[in-house]
Amino acid sequence: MKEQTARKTGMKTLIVKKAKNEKKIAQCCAKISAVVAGCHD
Amino acid sequence: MYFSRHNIFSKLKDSDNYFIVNLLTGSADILAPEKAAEIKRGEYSDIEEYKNKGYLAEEDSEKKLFNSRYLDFIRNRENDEMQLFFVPWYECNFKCSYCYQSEYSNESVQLQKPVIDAFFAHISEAFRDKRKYITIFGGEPLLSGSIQKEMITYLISEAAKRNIDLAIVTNGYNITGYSEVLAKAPLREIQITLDGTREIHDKRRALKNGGGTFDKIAEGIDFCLSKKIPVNLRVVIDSENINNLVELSGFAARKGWTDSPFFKTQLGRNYELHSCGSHKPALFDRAKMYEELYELLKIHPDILKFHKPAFSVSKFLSENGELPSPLFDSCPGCKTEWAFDYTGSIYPCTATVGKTGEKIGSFYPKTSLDEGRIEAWQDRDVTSIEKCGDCPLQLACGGGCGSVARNNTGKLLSPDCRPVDKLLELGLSAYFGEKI
Repeated sequence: MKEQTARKTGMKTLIVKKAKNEKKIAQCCAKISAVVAGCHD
Repeated sequence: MYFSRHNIFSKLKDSDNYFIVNLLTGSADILAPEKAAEIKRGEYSDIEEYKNKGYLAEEDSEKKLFNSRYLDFIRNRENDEMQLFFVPWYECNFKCSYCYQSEYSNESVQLQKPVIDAFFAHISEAFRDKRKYITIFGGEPLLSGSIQKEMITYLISEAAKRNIDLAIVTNGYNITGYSEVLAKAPLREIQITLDGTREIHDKRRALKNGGGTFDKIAEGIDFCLSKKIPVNLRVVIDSENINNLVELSGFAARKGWTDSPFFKTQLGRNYELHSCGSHKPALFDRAKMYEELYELLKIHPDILKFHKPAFSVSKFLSENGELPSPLFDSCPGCKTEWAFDYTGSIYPCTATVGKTGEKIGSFYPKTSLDEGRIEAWQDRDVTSIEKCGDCPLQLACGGGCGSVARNNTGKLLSPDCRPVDKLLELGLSAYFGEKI
């Protein structure tokens, strides 16, 4: 169906599901995954 | 009805197609060229679809949604875990070619146990109801001297006594020398920096006496992974070592690191913090670094097993099938991050800790806080930075790093802009290439 919509309107969504739980924030300074200088890159 | 001010619209790299992303409404679409042409002309067919996705919006309802998402963001951050940095000293056994702390002149006093006790007393009181963990930072925290080892051991045992988790940021040279201490520590993670394979790394991250460090660091990583201590390997990238990522990722694979669930990586840019970036021809700006990475990944996709770049929100979208929540503030200073050092001083974050003029308070010998300066940090977000106001990238960028911004402009309430549109051009193409 989405493919048909895409062909028809020329717009194809990249969203494939909705959040079940609380969404994560796109923290570029995301905690432990980038302990230091994460907020700089 | 107008074209939302939060739409990020641009052409995909290596494609005739375009993309449109709206962090406020959580919509993301690939657009055929004719659809993109419509947008450029400001003439919209299928208006309902544009409206449903928030690409076309009414000013009032968009403002309401913005305010409501902003309140959600602030509320969620209230419940965030605090990252509390502790700097036991600024001394280091390395002379990295790009060190941003090398210009610092800090008091040459030895860390004493009463300072550690005061640190724990302060955080227990100031962050009493908050989830928190401590990151031991430096300088280099894992120095080989007996006094340094005694202090680090004491710090770790005091954290363990209080059930506070730890992370350590180290150059990785003395990990094996600290093996017994580390094996008992409540460690979430050790961040270790390795800038390439032996020859490249040793040229950039040598000992003070010029000696190589690669082999001992690799040994330290092996040790951590064997003890199931999570390793976050940081590679600082510039034009001098980016191509070596191919060899480094091959090395990590042969060592079995990339197969370990306790191994992850981050690519760092040597950034414009203080004066360290001002005279470096090798320094990448953000867009350039990711452009080079994109090209490198096209030729060597195996690097992705070692590291999958974020390309702003592209990686998140490809892995989660949805956009992340809007980022109203990317600077954690005095909000979810604080930094403390051996002199009893308090600073807003890791980028400012130890820098003259950045102190915001003391926890030893007595506690005092400069509320005015703290408030200034806490007030900084995309709603208070005037230049963010009209920027369509603001909810993916978050205004960037406060310290870098002030370093560049002299003003805390100024942006450290992220080239989000450029990164999405690359990242959506890299991660959704087969679908577009």
